[in-house]
Amino acid sequence: MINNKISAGSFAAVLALSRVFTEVSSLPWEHTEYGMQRFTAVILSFLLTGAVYIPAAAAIKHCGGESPITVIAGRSKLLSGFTGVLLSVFLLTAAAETGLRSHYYASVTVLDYAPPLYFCVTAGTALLFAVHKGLEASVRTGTIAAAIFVLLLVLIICALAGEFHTERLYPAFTDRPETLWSEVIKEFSRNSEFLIFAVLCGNVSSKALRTVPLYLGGSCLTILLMTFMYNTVFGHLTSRLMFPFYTLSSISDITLLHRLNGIDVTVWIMAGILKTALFSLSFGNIVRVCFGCSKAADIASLLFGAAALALSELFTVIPALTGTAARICGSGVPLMCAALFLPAAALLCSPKSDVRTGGAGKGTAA
Amino acid sequence: MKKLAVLLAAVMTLSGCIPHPELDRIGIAEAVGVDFDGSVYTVTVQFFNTDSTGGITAIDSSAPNVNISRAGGKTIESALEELSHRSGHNIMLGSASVIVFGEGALTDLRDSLDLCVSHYSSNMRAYVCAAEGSAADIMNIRFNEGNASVEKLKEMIGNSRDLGMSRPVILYEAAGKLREPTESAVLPLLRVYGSGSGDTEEGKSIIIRGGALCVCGSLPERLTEAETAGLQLLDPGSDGSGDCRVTITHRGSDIRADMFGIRSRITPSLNGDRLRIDVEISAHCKLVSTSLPDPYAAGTDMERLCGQELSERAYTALEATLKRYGADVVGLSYAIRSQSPEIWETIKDDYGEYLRNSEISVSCSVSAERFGLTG
Amino acid sequence: MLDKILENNTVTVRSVMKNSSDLILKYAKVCGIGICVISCDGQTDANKLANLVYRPLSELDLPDCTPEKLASMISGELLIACDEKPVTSPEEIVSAAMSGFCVILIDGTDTGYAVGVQGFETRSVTQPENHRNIRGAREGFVEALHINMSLVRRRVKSPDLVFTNMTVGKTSGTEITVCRMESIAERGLADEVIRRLETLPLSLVLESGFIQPFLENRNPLFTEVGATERPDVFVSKLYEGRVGVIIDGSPFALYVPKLFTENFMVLDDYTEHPLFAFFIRIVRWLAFFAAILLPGFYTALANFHPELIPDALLRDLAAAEALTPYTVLTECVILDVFYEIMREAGLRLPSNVGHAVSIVGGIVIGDIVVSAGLVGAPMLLAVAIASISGYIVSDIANQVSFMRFVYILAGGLCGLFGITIASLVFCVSACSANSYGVPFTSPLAPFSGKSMRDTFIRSSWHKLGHTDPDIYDMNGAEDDKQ
Repeated sequence: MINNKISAGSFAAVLALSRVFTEVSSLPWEHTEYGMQRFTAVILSFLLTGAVYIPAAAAIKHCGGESPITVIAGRSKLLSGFTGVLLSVFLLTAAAETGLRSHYYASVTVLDYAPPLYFCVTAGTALLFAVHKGLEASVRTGTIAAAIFVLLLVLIICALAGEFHTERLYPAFTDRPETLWSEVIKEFSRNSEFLIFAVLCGNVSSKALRTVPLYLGGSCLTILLMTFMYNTVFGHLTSRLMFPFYTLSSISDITLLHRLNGIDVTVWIMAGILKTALFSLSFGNIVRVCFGCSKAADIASLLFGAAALALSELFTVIPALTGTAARICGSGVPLMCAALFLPAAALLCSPKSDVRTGGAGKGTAA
Repeated sequence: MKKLAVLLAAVMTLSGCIPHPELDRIGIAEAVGVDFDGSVYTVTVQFFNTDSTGGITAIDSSAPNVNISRAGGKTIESALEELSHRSGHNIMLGSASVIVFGEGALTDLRDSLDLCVSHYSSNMRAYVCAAEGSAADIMNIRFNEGNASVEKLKEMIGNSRDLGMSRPVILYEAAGKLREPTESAVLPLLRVYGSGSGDTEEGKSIIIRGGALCVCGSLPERLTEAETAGLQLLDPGSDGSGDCRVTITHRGSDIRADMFGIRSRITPSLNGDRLRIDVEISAHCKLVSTSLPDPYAAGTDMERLCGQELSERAYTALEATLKRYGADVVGLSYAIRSQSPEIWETIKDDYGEYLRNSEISVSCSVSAERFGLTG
Repeated sequence: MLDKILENNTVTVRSVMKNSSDLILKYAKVCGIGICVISCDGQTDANKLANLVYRPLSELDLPDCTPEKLASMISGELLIACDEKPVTSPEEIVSAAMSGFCVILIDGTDTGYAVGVQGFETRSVTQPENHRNIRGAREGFVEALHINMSLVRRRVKSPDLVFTNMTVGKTSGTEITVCRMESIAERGLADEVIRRLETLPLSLVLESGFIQPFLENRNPLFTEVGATERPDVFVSKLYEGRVGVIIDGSPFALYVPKLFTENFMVLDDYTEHPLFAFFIRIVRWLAFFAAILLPGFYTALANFHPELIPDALLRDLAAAEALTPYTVLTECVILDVFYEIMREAGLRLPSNVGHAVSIVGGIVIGDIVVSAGLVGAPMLLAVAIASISGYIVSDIANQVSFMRFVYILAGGLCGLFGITIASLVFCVSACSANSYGVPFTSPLAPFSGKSMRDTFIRSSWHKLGHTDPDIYDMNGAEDDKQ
């Protein structure tokens, strides 16, 4: 398995794609609201996410570009093991949620009447192939998928240029104040890419922290642009649509193709599989660093990918379990826990010499 | 290579898992008519007749370009299933470009439209129309021209927009408007008439006459041609160009004017307890077929007369929809929210009543750009 | 080691050569001392041999001649050839003789002298068969190594261009040359190439394709080793910091590393106006995607997602398919396989017969099959466009054929979902390739903005000329340099 360094730009592109994937592939209990409040909710949630990254970024800078888990593993076996278990649980939940989203999205759109096993086997094979090929391959493929998404977005904007009814926008920050914070938290909880970044930032060739503003800025702007499109094209209908972006693409006619939703589906299924692959590779890194099992890491990544898909299937057949998991994940608590615990532990474990010279002299050379 | 082979084998092994009909077994629906008699939905579908054209051999130009099939059911889905069963084709609604609702089905379009919108393969750009009487009658008209009957119907709907008669409504727009209690939609109203021309085998044709005002959960109301024409001035729609044609009378002679670049601005305000709606319309016009000796000298008169005509049309439309039915068909709620959020907060709970009691003022400015060749 | 007795040496050489008929031993006496000139039939130029060896030897007249004096005279003054070397063992003698040298053995000495009088028949330098261009040199590599080296040297008259000769293949003893620009190519890259060539396990190397797999990194689909028939292209690759390998007996020179985007670049891009180069490059990319995706996409849409097809086109497709007895997938597979058969037949047959095959194929497919209603005309069009497009990126024509077939199966069996999964696997496979430290998919992924000036677009020479290109600019590690 290859595990070489990746560039900060590619990493940011993949994380942004993963974030937008979560936005696009809504689950049945999620829906996109029409109204100006959604802009507010998105902006606030990204500000909150940015705030969450600050301690992590400080810890990474302090530790000379190393990922927090590497620093923790270097000092305390007990804490390292605890961190590994904690992150593994979070990663598995996030990966299963991603698998569920991919499956739901595919089954509602292109797969239609195909049995669940079909998705599991084919997408699972592709997932394991991506995991087997390693981080570099997955991230580069994600960059290509992100480029296709940008192309798709441009095509959609061109095709719908005459359909943006800007009069449907109105000057209001909130129009449903009672739901604003729940929307913000829901948006915030969708940023599970934090886990990938925290675990894999040590694999970035240099200036790992550049990933954060690029990814957060890129995904925030993209989601705001998408919200703008939903509001101005669909108006009230937005709230009724299961996948508004899919519907946007399905009304985009570029003459060669009556609709663009075929490309849309292609991008998001790829993004879903790649995101799950990144979670699996993160788990492999945890096994390698936190549990010190370098030889078993590759197998662990593959098993994690398979387990995540299996768990996502379990979610589809046990609605009660899904509901509970969704409530826990949607509360943002796991993300907040990881965001607070990891940097604190890393700072605690960092060597004294690092504390004195950290940030100023060491830079982020990997 | 081994991995690729394994993946390929896995995909091929599971290939039978996705059921699909072959292209030639699909009934490509071109137009769909929905009727409802209070208990049973009747769905009539015009679907493409593969014998009529296409390919490079065995074209039978004498064959009708569409087949028509009809079936009923408790729901639209069950009616469609029955229809697929009867016709022997898997009916594919994804390319249906016109959906016509009969009078009975217009009462509450929410379920019908939701069905169309929620299906992943639906054609969100399909025109939604109302039928005067039964939708099945409209579907029974088969135009011979072209390789699809529905093309002619689409052209008619498009022409009615170009001529400023009626504004087409697209599926996703209708679904959005008829979902919200504060909004309504006016669907072009189709009527069968005996044209006596050779367009169809039966000697009948379709004409668009006025519109059906559909309000969420209420019985539809009929709007006249003048009223629907006026509405188009105020809301040219997503694919509308904001054009229309008017005929004005000046010193006893009829002059046709092509209006283009029509823009409207709606300004809401609260006048005591009443909603006041000021509408400003601006347009450019080109005068054609004028017999005036010196059309340039009469330019100001022409502009005034055209402005009056547009103002009257707009006022008639607003009076009919807002004051008579309390229905917002021109996206007024968006305008109020964007321009005066505080007014929206005041009136949103009793929006319909405010519309009924509203004061309407319409002004129009027209600039004559050029005159016709005969001038 | 050689013996001082000439007879013993010649017997040993004969036995090493197993008394092969093409071994020529010419005995003579020079100044009373016995000599033997050993050469290999067909490997030497008779004129050179006569003028450079036989005539000076026959005219030599040394008083008080001893074997040592004669040897000294021969090696120091008598022979004026461009390539001379002493040989000290029978194996060296045999190797030199088979490489076009003649070896002079002198009775009483244990050292022979090999003189380069190569003169075997070679093909003259002609226009490359596979890499043609509109504007540019009409010279292509030929089979003879030294001619190919001269073609390269003529284009780079700089001591910076370094050739390192090697011999590979235990049995074939094929000579190869590793080329690099000393100041540009990374030393580690050249060392790695030489290391791989030195450990080549093959005993027979007949063509560059024999050693290509040993320079690759076992990617199942794409090769990371470039092959070109054009000396000008080869030189430009060396100038970008790559390392090249020229193989005796092959008109294809290899270079590493090679990137995916290079498949879409040709020499003409750099001789035409940048605007046209940009246009034609975009066309090549579109052709590539059409070549791999069009039939698969068509079958996927026709089978699973007809709503994506524009209405008028859908009606035509449905009408065409209604007349055919087979499913869309079957038609597509039949056509594609039939096309591949025709292509293969056309390649291997003599050109006269090849034309006949093309005509018969055209009539059979184009007319009879469609007229008989066995295959729909739109399907034929899709496969034909894809097939023609595949040749626009001729370097990866085989990969394109394979991918097209996979996409046909994936699209026909699983629709767009299958296309997605296949695309993902191909992308991951390509992106996982690292060719000597440079990602195969760079500068696209990882993205390199600097390299974009010569990827989809080709900037003008005013811009390109400012900085020297370097392949290692594309390794996605630009951050490190900032």
